[in-house]
Amino acid sequence: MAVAAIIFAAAFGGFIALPLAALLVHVPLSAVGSMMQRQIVVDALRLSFETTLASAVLIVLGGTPLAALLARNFKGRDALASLATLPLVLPPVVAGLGLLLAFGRSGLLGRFLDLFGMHVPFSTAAVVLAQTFVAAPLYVIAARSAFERTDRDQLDAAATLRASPAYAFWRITLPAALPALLAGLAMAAARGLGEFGATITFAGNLPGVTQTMPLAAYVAAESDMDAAVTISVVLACVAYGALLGSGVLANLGRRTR
Amino acid sequence: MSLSVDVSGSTPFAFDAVFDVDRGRTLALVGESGAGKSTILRCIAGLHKPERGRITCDGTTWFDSERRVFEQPHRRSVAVTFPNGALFGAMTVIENAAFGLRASGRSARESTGRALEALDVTGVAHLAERRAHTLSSGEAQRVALARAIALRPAALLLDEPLSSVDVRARPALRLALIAAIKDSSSATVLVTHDPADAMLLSDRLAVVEGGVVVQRGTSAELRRAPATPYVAAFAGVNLFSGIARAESDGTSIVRLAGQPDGDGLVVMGVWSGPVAVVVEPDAVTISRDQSPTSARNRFTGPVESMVPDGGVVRVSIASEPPVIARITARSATALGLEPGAIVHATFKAGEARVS
Repeated sequence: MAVAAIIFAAAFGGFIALPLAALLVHVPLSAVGSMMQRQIVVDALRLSFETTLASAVLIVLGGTPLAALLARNFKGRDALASLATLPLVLPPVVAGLGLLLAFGRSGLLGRFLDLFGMHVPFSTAAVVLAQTFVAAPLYVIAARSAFERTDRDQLDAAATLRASPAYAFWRITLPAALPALLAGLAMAAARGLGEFGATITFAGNLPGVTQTMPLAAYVAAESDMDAAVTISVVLACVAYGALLGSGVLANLGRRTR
Repeated sequence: MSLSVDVSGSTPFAFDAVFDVDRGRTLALVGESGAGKSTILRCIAGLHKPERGRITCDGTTWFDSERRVFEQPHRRSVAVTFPNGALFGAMTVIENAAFGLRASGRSARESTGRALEALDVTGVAHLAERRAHTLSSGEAQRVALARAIALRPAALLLDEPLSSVDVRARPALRLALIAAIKDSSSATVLVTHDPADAMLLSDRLAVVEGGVVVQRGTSAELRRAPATPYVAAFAGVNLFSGIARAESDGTSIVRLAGQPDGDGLVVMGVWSGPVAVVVEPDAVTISRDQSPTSARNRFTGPVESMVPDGGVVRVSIASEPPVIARITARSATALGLEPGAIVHATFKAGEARVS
């Protein structure tokens, strides 16, 4: 029984490792350097870096207060929490269509933005919005659970030591939650970096403007397999690094409480 | 200058408490665990909102149900210590102690200075740079105490400060508490379920049963006319304090305060320094003659009073030190006890609990 379990586990592990190994084998390490200088790769790298950074900022600014709110008890909390988590299970194309209908020229919000001459779809801003929409839940879930773990007695003690709720949040809740917040942010950034469906639907596939690394890899796969694989290897490595780092941070958070 | 409390409510369960405490005085809010002591304390701190009543401190209204006044906790001149310390684990000891002053807008320099003074009062200034989560429970409680008194609050609220602490560390921590209470000159409310702590640390007691303050007074007043059996048992314990010195046979002798020439108490275990000793009245035996027994502690004096308590009698003996015994009414009759009769009160060393 135990032997069978080990064999199945090993086989499944191999199944997951095999495609990654195939990617790594395809491009010799010596060639990666020159591949990284191809225009399509350079553009995609730069754009992905910028948009992921921008969406990470948006996710922290909006997701932190939302998570703090969800960590409290109020009517309709579960409905709001489910809504905030929805993008995680929504097909990315559906997310992209929704964003298009919201921010498009005749969209719910887009028609007002249009009055001010602002056109979101098929711009770099659209890439950022798509990444934010899809990746935010990973951060919000991690942040909410960290805030919920805040020691109730410590907050009571802070309140009786002249700390206003805002002061207590900055000095007690946030520092205690910080490792978990960073872990959640790493996951969200990795997810945002890999975003494909919502981006191509809402932002299109314009090189240098909206063509992020996953899109570039998809396009390159038809004409320049080596470039596609190089991009894929970079994406896989960054994602794996984010997961490892996230795990380390999560452990750190558990120890210093 | 005083704290005046009159609160009642029905959540988390029914409670009703009326008492006041002058600045520089300490009231012990006593009762069994779950009696509602902490809820009343949380009302004073502003962490729990009572349904009815009024709380004022030094002329400022903190709560008034009729005028719909409810000050948030951080706007009250109050400081609370929690049973487990509730220190900020990731901060250093000095950051913990300075927290309240920093939160109220004092400069880092002034806050740190006053925090150090407070840590000195509670005897943990040498731990200033340690991370709070590395402290023992006794050290943590001292830091929590320093963190509270550094604010010089009008009301100092201590919730079971000794309950999480090892019995070995209790006598010294109690001295730190006495020093802190004295230093703060606040109106202090001490929540405890321990008669020794209540009597040694407070001037007056308020006994809570089922959420309701059933009786208030000094321990002597409660002992003289207890309103309920619980009050009688709580205030009726024999409490001795003195300086312990270990003997070579695994016992210790406690020289009682104010009685330097007496024999002292024999207790089990190796102790040294100032201690409190509790002896339950049920453990005390009364005899009329000097017949030898195995009990090591014997005190002789006249019967001062006899208070019937159901089928038993509480006998107060004016020996040095005074001792209370709780014996059956039948035994009292058989011994022919009456006020003024000279009796011997004895109890075994093992019945004398150092705390």
